Amino acid sequence: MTNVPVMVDAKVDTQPIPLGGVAAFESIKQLFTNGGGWYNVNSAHPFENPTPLTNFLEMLAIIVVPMAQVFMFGLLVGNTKHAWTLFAVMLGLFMLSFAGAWYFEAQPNPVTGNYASNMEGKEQRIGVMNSTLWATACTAIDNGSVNSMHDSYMPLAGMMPMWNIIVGEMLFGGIGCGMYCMLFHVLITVFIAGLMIGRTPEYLGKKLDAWVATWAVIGVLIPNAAILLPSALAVMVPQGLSSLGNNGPHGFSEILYAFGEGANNNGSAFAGLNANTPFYNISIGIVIFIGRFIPIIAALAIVGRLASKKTVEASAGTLPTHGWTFGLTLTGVITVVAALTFFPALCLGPMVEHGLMLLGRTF
Amino acid sequence: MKWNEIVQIVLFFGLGIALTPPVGRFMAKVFKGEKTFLHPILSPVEKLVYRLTGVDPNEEMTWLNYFWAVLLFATVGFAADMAIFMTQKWLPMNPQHLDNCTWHLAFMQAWSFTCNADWQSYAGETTMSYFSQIFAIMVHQFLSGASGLAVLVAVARALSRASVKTIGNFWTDLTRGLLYFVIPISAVWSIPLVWQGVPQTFQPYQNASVMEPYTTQVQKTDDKGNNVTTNIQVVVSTPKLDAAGKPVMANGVAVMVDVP
Repeated sequence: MTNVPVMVDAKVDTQPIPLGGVAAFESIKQLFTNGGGWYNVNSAHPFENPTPLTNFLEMLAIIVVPMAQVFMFGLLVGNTKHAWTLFAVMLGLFMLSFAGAWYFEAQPNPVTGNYASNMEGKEQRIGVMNSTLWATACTAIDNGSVNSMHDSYMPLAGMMPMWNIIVGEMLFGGIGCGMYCMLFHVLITVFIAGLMIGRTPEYLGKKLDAWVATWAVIGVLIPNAAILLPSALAVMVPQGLSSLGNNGPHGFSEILYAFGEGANNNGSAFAGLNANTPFYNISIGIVIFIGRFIPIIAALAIVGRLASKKTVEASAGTLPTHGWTFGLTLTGVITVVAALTFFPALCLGPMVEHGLMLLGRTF
Repeated sequence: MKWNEIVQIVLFFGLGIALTPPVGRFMAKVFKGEKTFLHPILSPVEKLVYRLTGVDPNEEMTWLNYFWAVLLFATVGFAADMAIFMTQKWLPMNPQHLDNCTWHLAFMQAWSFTCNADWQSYAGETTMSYFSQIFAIMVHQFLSGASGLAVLVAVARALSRASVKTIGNFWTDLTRGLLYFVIPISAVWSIPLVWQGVPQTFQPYQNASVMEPYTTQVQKTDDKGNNVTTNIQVVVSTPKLDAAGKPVMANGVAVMVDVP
């Protein structure tokens, strides 16, 4: 014998339409890399994003200020050549992630055997290109608003937004934080390049010392640890696993994405994970705090030290911090640091899922 | 790949790159304290803010003091946000009578918005009142963005200096950023969105008539609002087990028995 509810018929002839101060909310959250949304589905909702023009304007709003902050940095330090080199590195990596996500998302789904691109979790009116462009823009730029559900992407397409996040939110990145997180990688690059070719590590006319190198490494590694350690904890305790919407590697991707966006202050969601539980609310809250203030204190500690030093004139022994050589070395350092830290985790998540998908197993 | 997709991609990256020099130059001017076209209107407001808060705009901070100022600012915002989320039932501007947030949701969301993350573990339209959305969430979308920008400005300013211990004043950077850049650009950007039909209103949720009324099934409730349930017989099939607890097989298929 089982206790079941008694059901009765009910006629539905009205529907509540949620309203509010959406337009003002929308412009500030898009321009200053806040993200989220007035409505749960963010810009997939026809009130947050009613027309193709608003879709374009909201997407443009994501990149305008983060791009401009790089040039502002160049003007304030008095070296715009260096700023344009950083700009090119960020733009290049961002475009690569977009191309990857678009390519994998436009493929036919091998499991369902349909010959169209993957439209699950997307608005018909927005389509694949605008969904993937938004998804990679809002993760490369720490914005975190969505107009499609990243959870429904093909495994490797979903890995692209995840990669943008774990690379450290600095492919333009958030307002302010994208640029000073990039600074840590720039300083590490100057150090490594200096060691490799035997030049003095100098940045913008200042000699770099052990204090600077230590804080730069802290600024890079602690947020990364704040992604990996809580993710490991979440897959070990029942409170972490009970929130999952999917099993297997896809469930792991959901957890990794949740802590990744927390530590890098992104704020987009892979969805599928019910994060409104005491375990996830408290752990992600703490991770967000660490991810915000550790880079801030590291950046201020570094520049506080450099401001107190004397400026040295650039000499033949100075490694130039602009041009192709520096840009490519910086790209290499960014990729290697992120890949070394997250390759095992990405293997357990999206890569395994892609392999199993080709064998016909889905999650 | 359709032609209109290519056009959109080119426009997206093209406009982004084209807007970078003018916007970046304007930001640099604002943070250097130089005159912009907004100064005739807004510089009295800036002076008023300094007078009301007792901030000396020319006082300089060391890097550690600058950090404490950023942290203090976020912590005060965190406490205010958490208080609003946990009391929104009793606060005004809640036409849907949405309930207070749980303490752990309030904790998470307060850090999330004050740290510029804005990760939401709730559904906006069914959890947050208009008061919370505007005074707790939207206020911090301005403040957290401006404080991140202030830190970057301090970093850039410090890198351009030599042989000094100080890197600038957080309160000045924050006020200038907010007043001359963050608030004006967001106000301008929201106008085309309103024109295109994004709602901007304080009216309660509207009840719209459905074009094709339909019938659905809901749980029956009694006079007191309790759910009505009934007991029914449920029959489940399970594999038949032998004495050793192994399934009994017939022609390679498990034999099934019905269990009431």
